[in-house]
Amino acid sequence: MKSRFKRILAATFSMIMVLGSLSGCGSSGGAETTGSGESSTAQGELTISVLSAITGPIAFVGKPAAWAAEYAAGIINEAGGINGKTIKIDMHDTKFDTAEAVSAMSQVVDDALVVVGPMDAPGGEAAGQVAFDASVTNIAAFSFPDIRAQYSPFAIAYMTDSEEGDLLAAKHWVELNPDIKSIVVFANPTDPSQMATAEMLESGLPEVGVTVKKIIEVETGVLDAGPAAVQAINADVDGYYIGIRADEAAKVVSELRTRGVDEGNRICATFAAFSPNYSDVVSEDALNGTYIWNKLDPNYDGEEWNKLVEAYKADNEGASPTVNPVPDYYNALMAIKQCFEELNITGDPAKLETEKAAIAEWFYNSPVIEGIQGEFQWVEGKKVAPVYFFQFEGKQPVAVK
Amino acid sequence: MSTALSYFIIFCCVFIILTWAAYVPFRAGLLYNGTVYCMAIGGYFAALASKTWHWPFWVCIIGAIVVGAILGFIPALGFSRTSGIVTAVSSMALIFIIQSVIRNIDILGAGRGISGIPKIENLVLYSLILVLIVAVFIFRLDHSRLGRAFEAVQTDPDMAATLGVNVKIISVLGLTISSALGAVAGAIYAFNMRIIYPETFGFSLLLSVMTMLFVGGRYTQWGMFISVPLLWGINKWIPSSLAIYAQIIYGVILIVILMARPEGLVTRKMVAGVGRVFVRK
Repeated sequence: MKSRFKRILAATFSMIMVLGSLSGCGSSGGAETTGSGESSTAQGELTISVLSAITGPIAFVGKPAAWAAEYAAGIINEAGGINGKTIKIDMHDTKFDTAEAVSAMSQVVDDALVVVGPMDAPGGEAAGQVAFDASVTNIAAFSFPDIRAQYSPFAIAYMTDSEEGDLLAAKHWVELNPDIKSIVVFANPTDPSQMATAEMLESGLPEVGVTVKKIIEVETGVLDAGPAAVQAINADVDGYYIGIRADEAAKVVSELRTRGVDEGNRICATFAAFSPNYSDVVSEDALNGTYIWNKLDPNYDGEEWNKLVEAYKADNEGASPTVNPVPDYYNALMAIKQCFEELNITGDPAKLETEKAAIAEWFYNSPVIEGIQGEFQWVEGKKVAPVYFFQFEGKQPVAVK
Repeated sequence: MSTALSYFIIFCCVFIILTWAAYVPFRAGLLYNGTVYCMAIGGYFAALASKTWHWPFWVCIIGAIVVGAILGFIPALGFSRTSGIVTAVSSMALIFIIQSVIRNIDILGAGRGISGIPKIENLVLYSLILVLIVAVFIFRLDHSRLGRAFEAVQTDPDMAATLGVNVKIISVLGLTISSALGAVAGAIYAFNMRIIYPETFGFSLLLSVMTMLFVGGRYTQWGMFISVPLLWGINKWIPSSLAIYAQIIYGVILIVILMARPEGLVTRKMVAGVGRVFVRK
């Protein structure tokens, strides 16, 4: 009798443990997270789920993006919310990891009307599949047209296509420096977007009489960029296109300048290098005269932008926002507000499917939206917005027309 | 079932099988770091077979087991001559090799990986079935003559050899079984993610697997049922406001458990005790 009781007790305890574990990972994730459906309606509140790489190797971009989303929510709430409802940001950290991105998306997608993020291309592609299956509009890093097409109409790019921007910038750079006839491109072999950029430059620059002689691979976290710089110099070219992220770009440019690239105008860097991790690390002499392009203009003069910059500085020890996800995440939230107001979205769970479909249609081919740095629009999920080209004068990037 | 719950269960199944893939060679005294390599093989095979050749799920799984076992057997011939730290370090090289190979083969999607892997209905159920099958297999293995030979090699290879155990064959067998299990985990992972990248199969994943093995308990097969949901689920258990500290919490759990319970959360003694409760005398 006693042993039977023990068996029943053990079996019951095991069952409780299993059920307890499983119930903990219900649709809304952690104890304090709120799904955007039923609970938000009941509380007169709309929850917008935002996914960003707050920790991990690209946290220097992910944290500002998360900040921008929270800031935008604050601005929206100050102005009366959306259709009279305040909005709440349900933030999830994807850690620049595809499995974490999918897991985070799976936690929010059941009740969501729209999800912002992940902010990185691999995370976006992986988590976008989950959003697509749930017919939820996902404003994320859909930088490849084929992925947008695969997940259409739910895949909406939060920023302009990087590869096109790189080609545009490289053409502008060689146009300003007509003696540049051959270049090398630095790219990270593990980053599909950077390799796609390198290939696009290889195929696109011959149109303007410039050849890409070599693609030099620089992996994330490389400690010594000397060998890459030597390879580039030995290629005997006229220009160096730095298609890698800020940390590695800083090392490569420093090495190039130390090893004999005397003229700054022979170097042009991509938007992913536009951050203090680049401009604060490279010496003033080395940076002077080099070019860089970006999807935002840090010196943009507009009331809304200036207010954001001040708030950002106040929250970030005086640092200025230089990474493009800041205006892009902000714009995404503001676009959601415009969409919800135009479509009179209620967040009522009974209307969830209808409202999700209407939101997807609105974003896929959006009206022209007044963004924080000028107008932009989504055309078949692709973001169409201006990009900015700069030349460094000392440490200061100065806009080049 | 909510989307979150189904993804959570499938990810847990992947990590449980993957941790078992690390557990099997450990039973034979080998700290084998090639589990991630085998996972990549299984994942890419399943992705290719389902997307390009339109193979059904179970055929993809069987194919992944076969390919994983073959491609695990070849390096196992070399690793069977090594032991201890040499096996651990040298098997890490497989991660570099597989990532470089994948990045340079266009049919495997190179750096962009393979996307558009077909959706499998009932993947939760299939994953649970696979966990059950592997659990029974490892339980039988642990309690077989072969399992005792594994244990003898782990305890003292020289003594095992004097008892007539062919240490080399045992090592090769352990590594090959591990490779097949890693491939199964990779295949489920690919079907769950429906997109697969070479970067997935890196040191971060290896570290996660080893942590799950050591926290759960490396001397029994059952610890993974505690450590995997606990460690994979950290982000889901803790309040969202603490989510950014998840890595710190992860590290603290690892340190505390390894200091307080070096054998891991689930020990053989505990398993024997639980077994006595459930088994009628």
